[in-house]
Amino acid sequence: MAVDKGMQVLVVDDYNTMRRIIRNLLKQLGFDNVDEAAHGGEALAKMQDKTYGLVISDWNMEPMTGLELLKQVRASEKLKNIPFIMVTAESKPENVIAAKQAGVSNYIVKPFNAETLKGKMTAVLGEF
Amino acid sequence: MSDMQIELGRALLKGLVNLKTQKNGITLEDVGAMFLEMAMTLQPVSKADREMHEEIARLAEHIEETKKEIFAISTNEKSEAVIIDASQHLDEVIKATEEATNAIMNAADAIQSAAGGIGGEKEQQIMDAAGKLYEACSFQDITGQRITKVIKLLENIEERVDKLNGIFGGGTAAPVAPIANGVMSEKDLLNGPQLNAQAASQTDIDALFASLGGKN
Repeated sequence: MAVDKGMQVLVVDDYNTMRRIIRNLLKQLGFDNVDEAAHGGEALAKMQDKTYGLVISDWNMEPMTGLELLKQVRASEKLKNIPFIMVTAESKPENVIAAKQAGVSNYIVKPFNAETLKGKMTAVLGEF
Repeated sequence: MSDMQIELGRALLKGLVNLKTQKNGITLEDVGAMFLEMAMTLQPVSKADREMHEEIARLAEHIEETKKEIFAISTNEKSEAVIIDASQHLDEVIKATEEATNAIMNAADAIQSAAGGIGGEKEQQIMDAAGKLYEACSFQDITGQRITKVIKLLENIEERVDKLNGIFGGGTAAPVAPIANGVMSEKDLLNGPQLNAQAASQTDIDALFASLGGKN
């Protein structure tokens, strides 16, 4: 099935700079409908109101981390099938294992470029 | 074992039991005072006893010196001011880099908007170059996290010194919670960016992710 580039993407990061960078990279890839949240709690609230085709989330945020957000998404009957890519500076093997066990769709380590983001989105969503 | 060593062992044990009974707890300061008293009262008879006597005296002296140093650090307003000042400087670095990063991204936005009508290969080249400016700005996120880590470390040092001072002053420090059964908590997993020499690359992450059944 072809990827709908008009789908809503939710970018979750406590750094405004990083949200803006990811939004710009998504725009370069043809995804213009991007929403932002500064932490897991805000993201979860937005996900209750709107349907998202992809979540791209940082890990290290307060008060709710990206890992906790991922766990809550996977535990929710309504949200559990949403593709979820973790984009983080946490690059230790135990982090990748914990994220995989929690059901992450893919894992990107910061800093990264448009090519890496496109590659991981393709792996998760299919060719676009 | 010499008579002095036996006598020393008994005295230590007795002293510790007395302290435990009287104060319902033993501080490092108590142990230091006990060593000092022993060093002053025990009479060495052999060479081994004399060496032990000297060691006890050194130990007592060392505990006293350490106590003074820690007290000096925690009560020295200048030292405290230096730590606060360093944290504030680091906060300023985060703010300054954030402002500079936003200025660069605003310029990149303007370049992309202006190039929008050019068309052809030139437009693509300009768009790509502006995109690279954006990508490079991700340094601010990484440096911000690193600096925040250092600020937390400084706060932690200050807190530890205060606790040590509490111990020497008769207070008790809260124990550091061990990792239960070797299982890391979610808090243990929050380490921030690793140093470049130690950090895993995206290729390493991909290999690990694939080995766990993930699709790259």
